[in-house]
Amino acid sequence: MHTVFLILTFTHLIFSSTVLDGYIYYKYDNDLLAPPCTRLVNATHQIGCSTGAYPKSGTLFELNTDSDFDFVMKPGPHSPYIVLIHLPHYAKDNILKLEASPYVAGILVDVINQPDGLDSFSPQTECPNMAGFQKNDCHLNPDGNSLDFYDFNEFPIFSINDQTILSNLQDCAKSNQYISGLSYVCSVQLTSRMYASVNTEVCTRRLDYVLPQFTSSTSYCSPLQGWSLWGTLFPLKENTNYNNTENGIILIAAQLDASAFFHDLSYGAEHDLSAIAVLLGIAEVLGKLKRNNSINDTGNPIVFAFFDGEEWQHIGSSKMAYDISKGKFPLFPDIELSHQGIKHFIGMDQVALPSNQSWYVHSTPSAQNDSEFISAFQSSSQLNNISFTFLDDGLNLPSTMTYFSHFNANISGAIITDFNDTFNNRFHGSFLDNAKNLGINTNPNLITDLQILCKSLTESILSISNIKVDEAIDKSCNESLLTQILDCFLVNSSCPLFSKVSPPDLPASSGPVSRYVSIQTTTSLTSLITHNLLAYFIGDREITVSKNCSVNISPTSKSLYRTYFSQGPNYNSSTMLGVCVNSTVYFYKAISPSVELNSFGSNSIYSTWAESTWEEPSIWIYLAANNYIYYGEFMLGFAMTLVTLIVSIIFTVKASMIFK
Amino acid sequence: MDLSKAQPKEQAKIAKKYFIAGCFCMPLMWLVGVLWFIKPALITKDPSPDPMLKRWLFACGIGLVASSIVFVCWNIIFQSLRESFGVTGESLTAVFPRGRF
Repeated sequence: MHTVFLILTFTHLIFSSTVLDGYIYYKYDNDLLAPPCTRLVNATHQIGCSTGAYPKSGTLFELNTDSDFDFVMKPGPHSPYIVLIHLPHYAKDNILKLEASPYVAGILVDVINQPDGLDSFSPQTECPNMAGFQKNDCHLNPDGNSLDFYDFNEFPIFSINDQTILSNLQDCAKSNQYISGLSYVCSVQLTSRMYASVNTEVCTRRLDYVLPQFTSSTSYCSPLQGWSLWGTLFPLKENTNYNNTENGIILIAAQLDASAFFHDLSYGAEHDLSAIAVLLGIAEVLGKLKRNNSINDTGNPIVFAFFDGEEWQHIGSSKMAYDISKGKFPLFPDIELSHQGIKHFIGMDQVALPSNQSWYVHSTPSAQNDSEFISAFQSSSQLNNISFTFLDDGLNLPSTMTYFSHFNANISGAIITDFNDTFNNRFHGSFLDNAKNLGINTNPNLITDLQILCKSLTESILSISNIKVDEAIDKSCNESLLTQILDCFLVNSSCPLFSKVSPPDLPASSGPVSRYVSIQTTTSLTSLITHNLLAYFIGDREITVSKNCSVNISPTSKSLYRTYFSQGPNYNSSTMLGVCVNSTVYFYKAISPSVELNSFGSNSIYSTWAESTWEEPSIWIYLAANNYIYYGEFMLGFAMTLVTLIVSIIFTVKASMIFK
Repeated sequence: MDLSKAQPKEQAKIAKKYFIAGCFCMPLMWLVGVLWFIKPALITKDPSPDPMLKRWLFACGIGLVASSIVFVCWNIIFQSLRESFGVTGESLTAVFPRGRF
C-alpha cells in the first residue's frame, strides 16, 4: 500500500525524459544550481571534498531536529544516509560529526532558506590569509572554524541553491518518513570526482610525464589565476623613473575576489565588496573633478588597483609586487617604477560595518612617523565628523599591502578597516556574507556610512598627493552609485549600472555575482565590470557610435590609453549611440609568482594554491529497494539455479529411462 | 603433434629448449615446460626413461617458483608502498590514478 503511494508520488519526478534513464533517475547536472564543495591543493595539503572514483549514494534523510542526528548515527535497515540539513544546523561540529559517522555517505546543505538570527559562521581560520613571513598569533576572526581547510576525502558536500531541486528533495525525504520497514526508499547518488591529490607539487609534476598535446585534457590541477585591474587618474608621465617619495605614486587598493565553502556562492559583501564600492565611489568623484578641471596633474600620481585572487594568499598583489621588484611593472617603455617609488599605499578591507562612524587606520611604522600622512586623515575626519583611529599593526594585518611590505619594509601605508582587533563581520569568508547579512534592506546607516567614508578618503588622498583643490568644491560621493554597486553585485546583476558601462554585446546575467577567482583565462564578469566602471569614471568620454570609437589624443601618450565602447545611460539599439571611453585603466594578470618560478613546494613564499580539475558533478535521485528485497531476490535466483541444476543432472543421468 | 608419442630423448631436448627460452626473461615458458612435462616425466611409467628429462623438468620448476616469488613480492611492495616512495614511486607508475597519489 505504502509502496503504491510512494511510486505514485514520484511519477511526476521520474518521467523527466523520453529515454529509459529518465524513468529511473532524476538527474541534476548543473553545478550552478547545486554547487558542490570542491578540492584545492597547496604546497602541503589538499582541502575540500571529493567522492573518489565511485559515486556515493544513500537513502535521503532530512534533518530537522537535534534528535535526528542520533538517528543517522545509528545503523538501520536503510543506512547509509545522504543527509539534507538546513542552515540552523550548518555548523562545523555537526558537519564533522556527520562525516565521522560510517552511516552517513554525504551531506546536502539547503542554502536558500536563510532564517534571521543565525549564529556566526566563518569557514576561514582565526588568523585568515596570513603570509608565511607574518606573525601568526592574531585573533582577527574568532568565529573562524577552519572548515575550508578540512580534507573531506570520499565525502561529498553539496549546497542546494535552487528551489525546484530543494522541493523535490524534501518530497523525496518526506516519503521516507516511516523509515523502518519500507520496501522502497528514495535515494540520492552524488558524484563529484576530483582529480588532484596530495599537494600542488605532485599534481603539477605529473604533467611532466604527459605529451604536450595532451596536457590540457589530462591536467590534474591548475593554479588559481584571475585578472586584477589598475588605473591611473592622470596618465603616467613618460620618461620618468618613479623611484622616490618626491615623485612617487599613491596606490589605493581593494580586493576584488571573495571565497566561500561553496565556491560558486562567494558573494563577499563586507569582505570586500564594501571596499570595492568605496574605491569606485572615490574614483567617480576624482574623475568628475578631473573632467571639470577642478584638479590638475600637479601632484603625485593617484593609482587605483583592484587585486584578484587575494583570498588565496594574495595572488594578485604578490604578482604585482614581484613584478615591480623585477622591473617588469608597468610594462610601458620609458616608465619605471620601483618599490621606493610608492609614496603611500592605502588599502581598504571591510569598511561597511563601523560602530558610530569610527574607522581604524592600521598603519606601518613609516606612516606612523609621517606627520603629513596623519594630519591628512585627521583633518578630513574632523571635517566630516567621523573618527579615524591610527593603529600600528599595519604590517601584520593580512591585506593587499602584505607582499608590498615584504619587498619594502619601510613602505608608508595603511589599511582602512571598520574593526580594531577582531572582525565585525560574523560571516567572514562564507556565503552568508551576503546582501541580507550586510543589511542592505535592514541597516539604515549602511549607505551613509560608506558615503561619508568615501568623502573623507577622497579628501585625505587629495591632501597626501599634494593636489590643490578649492575647499568650496563638494567632494561628496554619489550615494546612488554606492547603492547600485551593492545591489548589482549582491542582489541582481541585471541592472542599469552594469549595462551603462558595458558594450552592447555583454552576455546577460542575473542574480548575485559570485566572485571566486577560479581559473580565469578570459576575464570574469567581476573583473570586466569593475574595469569598465573604473574606466568609465576616470576616463574621458565621448558620445559616438561604435565604429567611430578610437583614441584621439596626442600621439605621444597613445600607448597609455585604452579605448572601449560602452552603452552609456541612454543606449538605443536603433541609433547605436553610446559612450566611447578613453582611459588609462589596464587589466593585469593575477597569477602567483610560484608559477613563473616553477616552485610549488613549502619553501615558496608566494601562493601555491591550485584548483583540481574534475568530472562533472551531479545529483541523481532514484528509488532504491530495501536491502532485504535485494537479498531475497538473490537467494531466490540462487535457489532457482540450484534447483534447475539438480533437475538437469537428474534428467541427464536418467535420460535413457525417461526418454525411452 | 602429440608429445606422448615422441621418444624420451626428443622430449628431453624439447624440455631443454623450453628451459633455455625461459631464461630470456620469459618465465611463462617455464610454466609451459612444467605443465607439459609433468605427465611424461613423473606419471607415465616409461620402459626407457631419459634422466635428463626429469632434470630439465625440475630446472623449469625451480625457475617458475623463483620468478613467481619475485613477481608476487614486487607486486605487494609496489602496491602497498608506492605512495611512500615519493617521486621515485611516481616515476615508476605508468598510469596515474586520479584523485589519489
